[in-house]
Amino acid sequence: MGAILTVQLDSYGNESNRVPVMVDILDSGLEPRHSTWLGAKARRTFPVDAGMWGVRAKLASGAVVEKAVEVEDGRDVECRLQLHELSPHETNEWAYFTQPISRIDKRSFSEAAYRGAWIRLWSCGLPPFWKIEPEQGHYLHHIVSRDSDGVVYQLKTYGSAQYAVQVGGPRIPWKFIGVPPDSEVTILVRPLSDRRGHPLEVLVTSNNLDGASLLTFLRRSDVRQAQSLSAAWLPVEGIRSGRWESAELDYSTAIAVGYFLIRTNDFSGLDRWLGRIDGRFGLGPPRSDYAILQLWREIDRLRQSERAGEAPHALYSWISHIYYWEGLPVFSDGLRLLLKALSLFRNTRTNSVFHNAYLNIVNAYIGASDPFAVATTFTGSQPDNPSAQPIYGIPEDGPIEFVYPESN
Amino acid sequence: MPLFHDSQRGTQSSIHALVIGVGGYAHLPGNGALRTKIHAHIGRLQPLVCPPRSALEFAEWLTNSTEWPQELGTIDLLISPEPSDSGFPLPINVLPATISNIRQAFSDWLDRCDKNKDNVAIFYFCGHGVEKADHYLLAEDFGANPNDPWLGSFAFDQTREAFHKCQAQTQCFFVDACREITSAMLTIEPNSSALTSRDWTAKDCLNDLTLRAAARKEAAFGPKLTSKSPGFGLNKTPGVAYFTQALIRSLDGAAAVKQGGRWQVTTSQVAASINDVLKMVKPSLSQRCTVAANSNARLRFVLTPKVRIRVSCNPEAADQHASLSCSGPLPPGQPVQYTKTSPWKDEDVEAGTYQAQAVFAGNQYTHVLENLMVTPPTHSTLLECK
Repeated sequence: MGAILTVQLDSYGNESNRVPVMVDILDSGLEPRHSTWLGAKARRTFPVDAGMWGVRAKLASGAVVEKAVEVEDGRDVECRLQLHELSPHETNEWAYFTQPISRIDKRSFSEAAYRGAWIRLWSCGLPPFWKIEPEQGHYLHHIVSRDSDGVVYQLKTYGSAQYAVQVGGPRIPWKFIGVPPDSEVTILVRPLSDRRGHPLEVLVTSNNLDGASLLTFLRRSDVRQAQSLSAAWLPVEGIRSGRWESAELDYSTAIAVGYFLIRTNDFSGLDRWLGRIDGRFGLGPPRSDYAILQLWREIDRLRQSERAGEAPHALYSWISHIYYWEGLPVFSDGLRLLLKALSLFRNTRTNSVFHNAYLNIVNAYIGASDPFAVATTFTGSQPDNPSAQPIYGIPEDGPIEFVYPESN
Repeated sequence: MPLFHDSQRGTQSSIHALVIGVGGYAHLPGNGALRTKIHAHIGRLQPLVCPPRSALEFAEWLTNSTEWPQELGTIDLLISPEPSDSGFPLPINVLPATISNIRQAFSDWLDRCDKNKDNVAIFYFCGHGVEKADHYLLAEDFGANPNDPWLGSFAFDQTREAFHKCQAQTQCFFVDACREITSAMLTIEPNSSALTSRDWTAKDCLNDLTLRAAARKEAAFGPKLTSKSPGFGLNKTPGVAYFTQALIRSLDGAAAVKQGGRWQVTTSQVAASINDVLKMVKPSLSQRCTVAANSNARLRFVLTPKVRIRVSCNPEAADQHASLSCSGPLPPGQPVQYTKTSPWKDEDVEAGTYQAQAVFAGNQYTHVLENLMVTPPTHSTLLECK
């Protein structure tokens, strides 16, 4: 006979329904009987037998919400999982659900240490040339919410460039965070008491929260969930259309799927993926992460070709292309893959002067970067000059916006 | 070289492990003029007590662990104990972890692993580590040549990348060492190389699990143990570094998921939960592991794992009036009853479904009964008391 178990995920953010949540229905022996991706506000029914059942929701952030429910024959049961309790504000839910957010003690922008905290936007032109956006207000005045424990911005950039957000303050070391060239980007800036890290946590996402979640799964090496989530975007053999063609697929998600394919050594899959999306993302402003996907496709081709001996020279031209034209990878996984590509030929007879110089540059970024962040995050005064040495103060070389003005 | 464990399995698919623990650094702190030269390269590092104990613990755990996809083939164990830890029981067939022994053992281990693509290769290192352009791991004789002390070290990042050329499709690398950069290193480019050379045409192995005890520029820790501590010497159990404890706990089931009716530990699950397990081992620890995994391959089956459980009341004030009990796992079999009068904090119970109950002596709150689903690695429940 059995009954119907209804799972209701409760959250309130505007974008919550786009947050992918893995829901498992476990039997009393904790074996998953149903596993499916649902939006964070979704409701779904599952037919079950009488007995004890577990309902578990897993988010990319690593948070898990679970409940046990008893089901009696013929009596339907509803199980509500209060996902919203993971986040202090509904406007911050996307970050608490999809990002590798720090959950240690919170701080407040009202504290003295955060007085004068500022933010500004840089853009990367052709060739990689960074400039401070003269009209900061044009981008940073669209504040979704401003609370003492977090400020959320929405940037409309129309995908016209790669950007970097810079934050700092009189007592806050300056740091940069990569911003993808997607048309709309949401940013959370929150104060944090982390002795090991930076006092401001800055989290960035595009509108497609599948992409953000996938990048987080990769950062946490949760390949199992990454595999399941990316399957929804990858073309299926014999089927000519799919989600990869939809407007939902933005730059960040396209890159995330590509990085997943490289991570799992699926280079034929990467080749097919780039074949599908080249027309949409292969051209335009500097797009370093895309160029890194192409670089790894080239590495795989050279590995298999009879020209393997010439590979260092072929790769040299690719890497120099990224160096001169594409600039800094927006995502940490891109920075890692760039270093890995350079390290492959560490001891070969390439143009060693350039090779070593570029290796030093990438190592400087890595040395100044946050190893747990999804977006490339590093300390320094200029986007092209990473530095592990902290710099403090209010910059005088261009406009800024205060994150939490005193009047608040 | 003699092997700590050898099942004589030849080319049959097997687990082959290389386990290294360095605590006795013969030239640290050194003396006189030599010490000054070594300090100029790396700062004031001291010998360590934890790594030999951690390496031995890991090797013995591996010897006794079962239900891997392959049988255990060999374990090569290199240990350099800290000299004052005189009672530390060094087993037979263990060589000192000098750089020449490490290089030879690594080469032999690579050969053994290379003989069958279904082999599982396990590398474990515990000792001093520092990081600049690479993660440099220090052998016992680091500083033997004071003008070039780095000759007694090896470059781990390059070594890991180079090992992908090995045929073994499952490769696990565990490094329990610091990754800080010392001020003395700012002006020096360490003269340290990989333990094997790279073949750039080799793709990454099918199942990679590489875990490091510390994030870049951060430290790894172990229990403080000195000659005045209880357990120092003959009792080798204390003194195992926290990451190693978390690693063993993860492989023993804290990182297990149930699939096909059995609990299994997978590469992806270990990577995704090692930081949670580390918090379970030492809640106050400010240490963060970095991980890399590229698959969700099964490492081993385990029995029903233990889960660290915490049950308390909401509001917090109700805790002091509550008598908490928990029955289970439900079903099957006889319920096991756990009772405690204060909030349950960090109790280990078997994974399963339980029934938790809060009973109050007075009238301030009404009794609460709630079903719990307790899955690894940790479970925390707030009983809503009204």
